[in-house]
Parts: sequence; structure tokens; C-alpha cells
Amino acid sequence: MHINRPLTLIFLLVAAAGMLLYGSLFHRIVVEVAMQREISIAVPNRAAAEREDWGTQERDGAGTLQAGGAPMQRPSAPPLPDVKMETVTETYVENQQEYEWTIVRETTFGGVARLANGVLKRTYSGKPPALCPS
Amino acid sequence: MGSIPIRLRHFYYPMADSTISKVARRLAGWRAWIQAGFLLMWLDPLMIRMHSVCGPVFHCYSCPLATFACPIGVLANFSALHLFPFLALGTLAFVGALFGSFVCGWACPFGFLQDLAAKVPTPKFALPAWMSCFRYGVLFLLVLAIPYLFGEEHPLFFCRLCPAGALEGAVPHMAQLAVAGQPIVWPTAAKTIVLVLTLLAMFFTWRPWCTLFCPLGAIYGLLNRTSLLVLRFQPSRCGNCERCRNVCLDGREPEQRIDGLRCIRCLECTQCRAVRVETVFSQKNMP
Repeated sequence: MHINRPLTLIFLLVAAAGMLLYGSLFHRIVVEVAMQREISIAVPNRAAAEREDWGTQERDGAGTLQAGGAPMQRPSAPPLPDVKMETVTETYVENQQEYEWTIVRETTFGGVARLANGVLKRTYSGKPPALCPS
Repeated sequence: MGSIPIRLRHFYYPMADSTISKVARRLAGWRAWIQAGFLLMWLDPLMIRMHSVCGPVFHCYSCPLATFACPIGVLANFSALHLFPFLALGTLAFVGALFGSFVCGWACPFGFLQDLAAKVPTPKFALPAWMSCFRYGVLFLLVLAIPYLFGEEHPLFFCRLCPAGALEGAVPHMAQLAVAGQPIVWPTAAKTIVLVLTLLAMFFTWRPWCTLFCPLGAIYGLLNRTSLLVLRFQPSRCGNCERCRNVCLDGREPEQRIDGLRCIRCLECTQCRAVRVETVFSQKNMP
């Protein structure tokens, strides 16, 4: 079979240029990335809750009578907030669109893996590994 | 023609050599130096690891001194990820379309290593031509099919067997661990065996990895017929001196199979005036 070499060469060069252009500028790949963030959450104040129970018992008439029939006077406590704020680290998953050349670099150290459901997931968080796992 | 001494026959034909042929013939003697120059390029002399860019040669990106990403590693990993590797294929198609397997003969560091090993004066054995088909099996199975079907964890994933990865990545890594006093992590048994066998074979046959198993050479060999630069044999200029056969590093018969799938375009055969380097657009009718 005779091959028209000049035409084949031109076709190859055009196809190669097209692939390079598309791969570097337009080809985006969705990668699932585990992210971490610090959030402040309200935690119920246990001491305040215990004091509420104590007050509830008082209202239910559980006070102790002193000698002579007068009710016992409890010492008053300083007021405490009902809740307190704590900072915790939350892990969540975010889908990021990466360029193909980023994925090329990440494959050199096994930074992207394909899950059973077909989703691509970044295998590291923070500093990437130094070597390819193979 | 019979009365003319063989060594002078070449001078009795019209010497209408193209400029490219003349340059190629002069460069052929400097091939080792040019290979060494390219080696510096692949070894990250400026310490800028551009692993986002696919290189055109067989050089493992796990090497501490790798400038670019290995195109075969990228193909295999993208196959495992079920992604189409536009950048890797575009790079290979572009370089292959321009130069074909000139990359193998002049730029590839692993090929350079094999050329150096071949200079050791040991008995050399020729490999049968049909064995070069193994390269396409390696390309299709170990680089494309197995990663696509089973992922990169499969033991036959190409990078888990690659001798270039073992030599350029695993060995330096083991050396680093040893120097740091840390426990040494050995490569897998299969990878070690492939490396040892390849290194041994380099001394007893010419370019065993390129001839038998290299998937990158398989790709470039396919592009030899359609690349910009081609080798052409002119039968009308042949004096039947068989000089081209003697100088062909692959032990081939250039006058019959020049610029074939296995040819690495070392240009040794251009010592004979019947072999020319031309562009694919050249339409000159040689006498």
C-alpha cells in the first residue's frame, strides 16, 4: 500500500499540534480533593446544664427545711454562659477541575487514583509524595 | 564498472548530495557526543523539574535528575485513570513526525547507555528480526490494556517492570536511604530481574531493550516511514561493496530494509554514498 508521505506528515503535525493545544489549554479533569477547614461550633456548657438541673429540682419543691420550718437558703452562684465555642477541624470533599498538565505532574508521584466508581481522587493532602509508588 | 576498484567506485558517480545528507554524514561520527549532550538536558541541569511537560525520550520521572515526565509512564498512568493523554500523544506525534527514530539513536539516554555497554569487547549476538514485534506487545498490553483494565496496582503495570525506572529511580533512592542511614526499600523481584537481565544483555547484544521491549521505540519506528527526515537507499549508486552492512550497528541489510521499524537512524550507513538523508518532500530523481 502506497503511503502519501508528505500528506501523512502534514496530517500528523496538525493532529499533534491540535492535541498539544487542546491538552494544555482546554482539557480539564475533575478530581475529588479532601479539604480541611476549621470551624467554630457551639458546644453546650455542661456546668451550666448541671446548674439548670439543680435549679429545676429547686422549683420542684425539693428544698430542705431547716429546723423551725424555714427553707434552707442556697448560696448564689455566678452566672455561666449556656454554650461555649470550640474550634474543630472539619474534613470535606471538593471537586476541583485541574488542567491536564497538572494531572501529568501528579501521575509522576501517584498523586491521583481512580476509585471503583470511576471518580478520580487525589491521594494526598498537604505536601505531595516525593516518589512514584511503582 | 568492474575495472574500477571497489573503494573508489563511489567517487565515479555524480555526487549530488543534499545539504542535509552532507550534514548528517558529518554528524554521524559525533553521535556519542551528541547523545551525551542530550543526556545533560534530560538530567535537569538547572534543577527545574518540569514534570508537567512530557519529554520525548525514555527517562524515568522518578530519577532524582529527571527534567521531564516519561511519556510511556504518562501513557500508562492515564490509561489506568481512563483519561485520554492529549499532551503525551501530542508530544510523541509531533517529535515522531519530525524525527522518527532519530530520537532513539541520538537523544535517548537509555539507548546511550546501551551503546556505551556495547563498546565493551565482549562476544556479540544478533537478535532475530521477528523478535522486535515484542515491543508492540509490550506497548499494547503493559502500557495500555493492563493499566486500563486492572489499574496501576497490577504487577504487570509497565512502570512496575521498567528497567529505566529501576536504574534511574529505584537505585538512586536506595542510595539516598543508605546514605541517610534509613532502612533500604528494595524494588520488586520482577523489576530487579528485568533490570539485571537487561544490563547483562547490553554487553552481549546491541541495544537489547530497544530491539525487544521498548514501547517508545515501537511508536517512533512506526513513524519512520512518514517522518520529515527519511533515509533513502539509491540502488543506482550501489556498488555492491556491502560496506553498509558492515557498519550497520543492528547487523541489518540497509540496502534492503533501510529506515525500517527497527532502524534507530544512527546514520552509520551514510558512510556509503548510496544512502542519503532527505526530507519527505524531496522529489529528486537520482541516477
